[in-house]
Amino acid sequence: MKKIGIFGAVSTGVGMLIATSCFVSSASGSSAVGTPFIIAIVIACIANMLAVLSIAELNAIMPNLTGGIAQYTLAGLGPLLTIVTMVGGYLISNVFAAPAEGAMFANVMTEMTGKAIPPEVFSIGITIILVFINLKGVNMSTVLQEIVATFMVLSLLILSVIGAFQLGTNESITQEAVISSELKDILPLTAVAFWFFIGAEFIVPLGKDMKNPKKVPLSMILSLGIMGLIQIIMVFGFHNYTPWSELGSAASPHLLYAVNMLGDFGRYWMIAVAIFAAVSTQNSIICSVSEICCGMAKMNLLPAFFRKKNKNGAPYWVIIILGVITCLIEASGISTGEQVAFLTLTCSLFWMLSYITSHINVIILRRKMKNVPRNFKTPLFPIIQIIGIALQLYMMFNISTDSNQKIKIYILCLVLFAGLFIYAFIWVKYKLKLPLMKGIGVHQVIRMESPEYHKVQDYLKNQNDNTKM
Amino acid sequence: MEAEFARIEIIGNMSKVSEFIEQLGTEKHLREIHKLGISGITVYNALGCGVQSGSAEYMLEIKEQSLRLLPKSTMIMICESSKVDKVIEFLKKEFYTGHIGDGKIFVSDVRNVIRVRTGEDGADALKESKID
Repeated sequence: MKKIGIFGAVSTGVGMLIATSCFVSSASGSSAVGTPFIIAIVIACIANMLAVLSIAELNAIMPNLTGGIAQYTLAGLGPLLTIVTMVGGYLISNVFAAPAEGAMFANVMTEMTGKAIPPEVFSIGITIILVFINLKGVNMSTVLQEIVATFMVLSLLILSVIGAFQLGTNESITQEAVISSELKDILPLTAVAFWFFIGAEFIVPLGKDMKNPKKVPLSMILSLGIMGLIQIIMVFGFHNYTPWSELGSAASPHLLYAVNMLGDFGRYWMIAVAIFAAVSTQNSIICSVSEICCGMAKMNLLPAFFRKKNKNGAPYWVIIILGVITCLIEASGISTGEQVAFLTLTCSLFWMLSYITSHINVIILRRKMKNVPRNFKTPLFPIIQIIGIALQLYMMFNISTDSNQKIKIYILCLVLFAGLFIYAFIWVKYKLKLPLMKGIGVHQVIRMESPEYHKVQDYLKNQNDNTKM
Repeated sequence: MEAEFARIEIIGNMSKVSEFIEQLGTEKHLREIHKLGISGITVYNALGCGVQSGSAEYMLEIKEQSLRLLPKSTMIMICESSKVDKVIEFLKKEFYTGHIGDGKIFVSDVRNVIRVRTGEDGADALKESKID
């Protein structure tokens, strides 16, 4: 198989970061304060760079694990918090992210085909197709992934540069560049900008396909940097071609921008980018969440049926459950920018929590396993982790500038976390019979990765039962 | 008195050692190891087991297992004592996967090194010959 170099890893990485729902975040942030939104973008980019540094170190201690952050947390913080933060932080946030992408895809398709077909048909349709593809165990080859990602990255870069330098075929507009320069208005928008940068950790599994897997941390940092740069240039593009008020209320702000700048040519170009972005993001979510759930079931953190695979090697239970939940949320008719923003902000809150746990895991494992060789160590330990945690906490406390929306997000999170806490408590204490808060040894976690491990455990359990009888 | 040279032996999984040697085929890795003062490597294949008596990682809890000898490789390299720590750090990172079978590193003193062809000894015997 052809191994990918740093260029391939970075372009695939940026491709993974690009989601159509990013355009809603970008539009909502820009329309709130104007070009000073770039300050929030830079801060969010730095916060996520710090998070991926910690994730890279954890991956160096426990390489090639399917459960990723869940397994790192099990080793660092123990089973109770792993279930609460990972099922909550990662799985639920992805469950919300998938329909957000579906909704954006549906908006684009409705725009293209007219209003004859309801948008839900498109969003549910694409989810069913992707579920079917994932059940068939079809994975995009790394080369195809690289080509699609490069197309998306270059297109977005070119579209933003055209806008920023007023090179569009249509007339540019004149409007205030700065709506507010007050830090109290700008800084809370870091939570909005956070959404551009989530998912950089999905680059970690690419390591096994890279010529030099040691360049995974660099690839993640570069991907985040390039994504940040594209978003910053695009803010200037928005300033030149889209009135702030229209931008904030548009359901598909990226289409508005492309049409205002390049007319119909821009519309079709952006439609192509948006379709690729939405489909590839929803596909990555289904693919990665099913693997993470499977990894968690291997560690007994989720019921055993989650690790069952069909003859194509796909963890079919997770894929079907995820597909059904995504379709249900899509069927509820989310389509407006505000609804998508609510979903993305709720996901962001959960995701921020999982990044905080990654920083804490590094701190714990540096003490617990200080002599374990690491191909990558975060520099300036523990300053990076402390700043990283502080930035994520800041964003969590400022998850929305709208106080009503903020309360709704907090209530939803509280309800979900309360439910998860009860499940995790019962599961760990009575089913697994493990200490709730004690980290499991790294090597034990690594051993649990093998499917043979579970067969042996079942065999030992049967033997014990027979002895007792 | 501390010996001027050290012998570093790593006994590990045969496939892992082969992978390491394969990587040395790339110029970058070769340069890296030369920078650490390693000018030669000797590898021999063997059968062996460690503290787990050859048991597979997922079978450690099964008590009634007989000893199994697994295919292993031993890699030997000689370097100046002052560079031992750096070489060990490099090898630890290269061989680490977190799984049982990553190997063990043994370090021992070497009193002298003599190149038979030229008669050079000490540090000169580890470098390219000055006589050629």
